[in-house]
Amino acid sequence: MSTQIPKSRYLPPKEASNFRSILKLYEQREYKKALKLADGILKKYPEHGETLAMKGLMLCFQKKKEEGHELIKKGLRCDLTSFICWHVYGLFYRTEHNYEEAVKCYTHALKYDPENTNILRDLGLLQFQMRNYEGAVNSRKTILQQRPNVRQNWTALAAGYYMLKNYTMAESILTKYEESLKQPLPKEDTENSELILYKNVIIYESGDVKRALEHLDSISDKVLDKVSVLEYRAKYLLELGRNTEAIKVFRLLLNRNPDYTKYYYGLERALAIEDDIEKKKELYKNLAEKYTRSDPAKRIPLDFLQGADFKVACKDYIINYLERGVPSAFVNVKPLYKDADKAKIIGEVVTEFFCTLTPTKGAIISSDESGPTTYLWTIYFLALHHSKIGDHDKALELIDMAIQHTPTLVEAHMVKAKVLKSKGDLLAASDSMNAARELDLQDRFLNTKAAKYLMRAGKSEEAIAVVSLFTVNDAKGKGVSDLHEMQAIWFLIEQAEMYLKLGKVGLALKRFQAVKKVFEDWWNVQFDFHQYATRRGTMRAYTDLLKWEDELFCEPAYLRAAEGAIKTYLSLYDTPKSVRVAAELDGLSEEERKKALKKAKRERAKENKHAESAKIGDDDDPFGRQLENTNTPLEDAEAFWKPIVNSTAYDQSLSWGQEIEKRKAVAAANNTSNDKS
Amino acid sequence: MVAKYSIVLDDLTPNNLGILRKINTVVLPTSYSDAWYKESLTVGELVKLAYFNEIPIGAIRCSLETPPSHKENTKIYIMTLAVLSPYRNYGIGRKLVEHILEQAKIMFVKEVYCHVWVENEDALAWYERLGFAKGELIKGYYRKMEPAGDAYILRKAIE
Repeated sequence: MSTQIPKSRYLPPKEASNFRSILKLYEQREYKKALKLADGILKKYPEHGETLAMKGLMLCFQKKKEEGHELIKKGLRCDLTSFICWHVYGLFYRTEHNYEEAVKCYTHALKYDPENTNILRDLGLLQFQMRNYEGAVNSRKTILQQRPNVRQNWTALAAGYYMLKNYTMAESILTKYEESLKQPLPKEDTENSELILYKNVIIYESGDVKRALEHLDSISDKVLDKVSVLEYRAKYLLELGRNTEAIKVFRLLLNRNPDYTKYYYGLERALAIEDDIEKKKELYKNLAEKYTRSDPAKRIPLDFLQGADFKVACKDYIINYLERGVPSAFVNVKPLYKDADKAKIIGEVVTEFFCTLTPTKGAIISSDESGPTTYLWTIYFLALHHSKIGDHDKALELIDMAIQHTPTLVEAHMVKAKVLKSKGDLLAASDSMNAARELDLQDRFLNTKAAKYLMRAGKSEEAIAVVSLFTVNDAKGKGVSDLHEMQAIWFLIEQAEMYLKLGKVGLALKRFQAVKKVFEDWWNVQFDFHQYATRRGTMRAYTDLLKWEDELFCEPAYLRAAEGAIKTYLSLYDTPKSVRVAAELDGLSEEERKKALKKAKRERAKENKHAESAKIGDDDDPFGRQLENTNTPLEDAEAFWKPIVNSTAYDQSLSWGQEIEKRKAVAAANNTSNDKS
Repeated sequence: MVAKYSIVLDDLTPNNLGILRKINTVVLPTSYSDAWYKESLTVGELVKLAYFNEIPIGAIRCSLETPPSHKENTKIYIMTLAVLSPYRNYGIGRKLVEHILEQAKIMFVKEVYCHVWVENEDALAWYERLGFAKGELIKGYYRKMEPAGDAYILRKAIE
C-alpha cells in the first residue's frame, strides 16, 4: 500500500505550511486571512484539490454559496482520495441541511482516514440527526478509544446506547468514567450533577425501580436538582408499593409547590383513595384549608364530584373568582362542560347568583362591596357559558349588557367578537375585536387577535396594517416579511387560509410552504444540540428535545397547514389549469368569452405592476404563480405528507393524506396499462 | 371594615387614549374632536384616568389657561369629568377633582373652575360639596341645546 502523497496533493514546505495555517484559520473563523493564503497557493498550484475545497467552503460562509459549491466540487474532482476534500463536501451538505448526502461524504472521508477524530465526531452528530443510533455508537466508540480523557466522549457514547435502549451499556459507560475520577467532583459541577441524575433515569428506564431508588438515595446530596430528586423518589416509592413513604414525599412536594396538579394526583395514588370519593373530598378539604391560595385544591374536586356535592363545590369555586374579578373563571371550568349535567348545574349556579346582584352600588344582598364589577364579571361568565352550550343569541344579549354596563372592558368586546364569529358574522366580529384593540394599543395579544379576525373576514390589507403596528417593517411599512422571520406561524396559516377563501391559490400555497419551512428549520436547528448538550451533560433535557423533535411534524399547527396545502395540491392535480380555465369559460357566448379573457389579462397586468411592491426580500415569485402552476402537484403534496408519516406521533386516522396514495396508485395503474397498449 | 374594592388614578398615554374617548363618548352629551383628544396627551397631570378594581371607568381632563397679562390669574379649567354610571357614588369623581386641586397647589395656580348646566341640580350640589362656589351665569353657553342652555361658572380658589 503506497503511502506516497499523490502528485495532485503535493505541496512544497512553504505552501504546505501555509495550507496548515489555512486549516487553523478556518477553525478560528478567520476566513479573510485564510482565503488570502489559499489564493497564494492556488496561483502556483491551481489544481490543488484540498486548497480549492477549503476556499470553496469558506466562500460558502461568506454568502457566495454557488461559487463555493463549484470550487468544492472542482477540488474533489482534482483529488478524489483526499479525506479533506470529502470532509469539506460533507460540511457543505451539512450546512445545506442535506444530511443524507453529508453522511455519504463523511463515510467516504473515513475510507481515506479512518481514525480522523474530527470526521468521526461530525459523523456521530449527523447520525444522531438522522436517528441512526447504531452508526452513532460505532463512530463514538472509536472516538472514545482515541480520547478517553474527555468526559464528553463518554457521555456521547452513553447517549447512543440509551437511544438504542441498551440501558446496561449506557449505565456501564457512565459508571466507568465515574470510577476513573481520582477525586469526587464538587457539588457545584453542574455537568456532573446532571450526568448522575441521567444515570439514575437510565437505571429506572431499564426497569429496575428498586435499584433506581437505592441509587437515588445514594446520590441525593450530591446533585443540585433537588426537585427532580424528590419527584423521582416519590415516583419510585409509589411504583414499589411503599406507599407510606411515598405519602411523605408527595406532601413535601406539595409544600414546595401547592399549585402543581401532578403532586395532588400523586398523593391520591399514594393514599390509595383514587376511587374513594368521600375520602378524596376530605383530603381536598384539608388541603384547601392548608393552601388557601391554591387553585388545584379547589378545582380538582370539581372533576370527581357529582350532583348536589358538585353544585355546592362549584358554587363556592366560581363565585369566589367572580367576586374577586378573575377573568379566567370560565376558562378554568370549561373542561367540565364535557359533562352535560355539570354544564347545566354551572349555568344554574351562576344564574342564581346573578339574580342576587344589582348593576350598581346600592341595595346589595351579599355583603360584597365590589358590586358593579362582580355584576360585570358574572354577566361576562354567563355570556361565555351560553356561547359554550351553543346558545349564541343569548350569549350576544348578555355580552351586550356587559358592554352597556362597562364599555371600557376590553374582555367584553373580545367575547362579543367571539360570539359573533360563532354565529358566522365575521365582519361584525372583526369590528368588535377592533373595538377591543383600540382600548389598549400596547397589547400585542389584542393586536394579533384583531389581525386574525380581519383575516377571517377576508380583509387582507387591513389585517397587514394592524399587525404591522408591532413588527419591524420594510420600506413600505409592512411587517409581513418580519413575521416570516419571526416564524409567526399563526399569521402565516391564517393568511394562507384567507387567500384560499379569496381564491388566491398561489399566495395560499406560498404561505403554506412558508409554514413548512419554519417547521423544517425547527427540525434542522436541533443539530447544534447534539454536541452542545452532550458537552454540558444536560442529557435529560436533551433526550426530551429529541423526543419533541420526533413528534414535531404532528403538531396541530403543521397538520393544519399540511392539510390545507395537500388538499389544494390535490385539487390542482385533479383539475389541471386547462380544465379549470375551460370550465370558467364554458357556457359563455363568444363575446362574454372575449370579455372574460380580457378582464383576466387586465388583472394580471395590474398584479404585475404591484409585483415589485408585493415582493418580500429578493423573492422572485411574489404571488406564488410558480407554485400554482406546478407540474408536480402530487409530489408537492407528498413533500408535506412524508414528514407526518415519518413522525413518531403519526396517527393513522388522518385521511386526507392517504388521498395522495390513492392518486399515485391510479396513476401507476394508468401508466402500466399505457405501457401494455 | 376594610373596603373590598380599589380605586387608582393613572396617566393617559397614546396607548390608552381610546379609553378616554370611550368614557367621554358614552357619558357626556358633547362630543370632542380628534384634535382635542390628541391635545389631551400634552396636558400632563391635568388629565387622569380612574380605575375601579383595575378596570378604567372614569376620567378628568383639564386645560391650563395662562392669561395674556400678568394682572390676571392662571387658571385650570375642568373640560370634561365623567364616571361610568354603575361606578358612581364611590367617591371616584371626588378623587379625580381632588387630584386636580392638588396639582393646582403644586403649580401655584390660584383658581380651578368649570361650567355646569343651570338645570343640573345634582352636579351643582356636588361641586359645592367639594368647595366650589357658584359664580356668574353664562346665558346660552350650551349652544347645541334646543333651546340653548345656560351655565353657571363654578370656582374654587386655591390657597
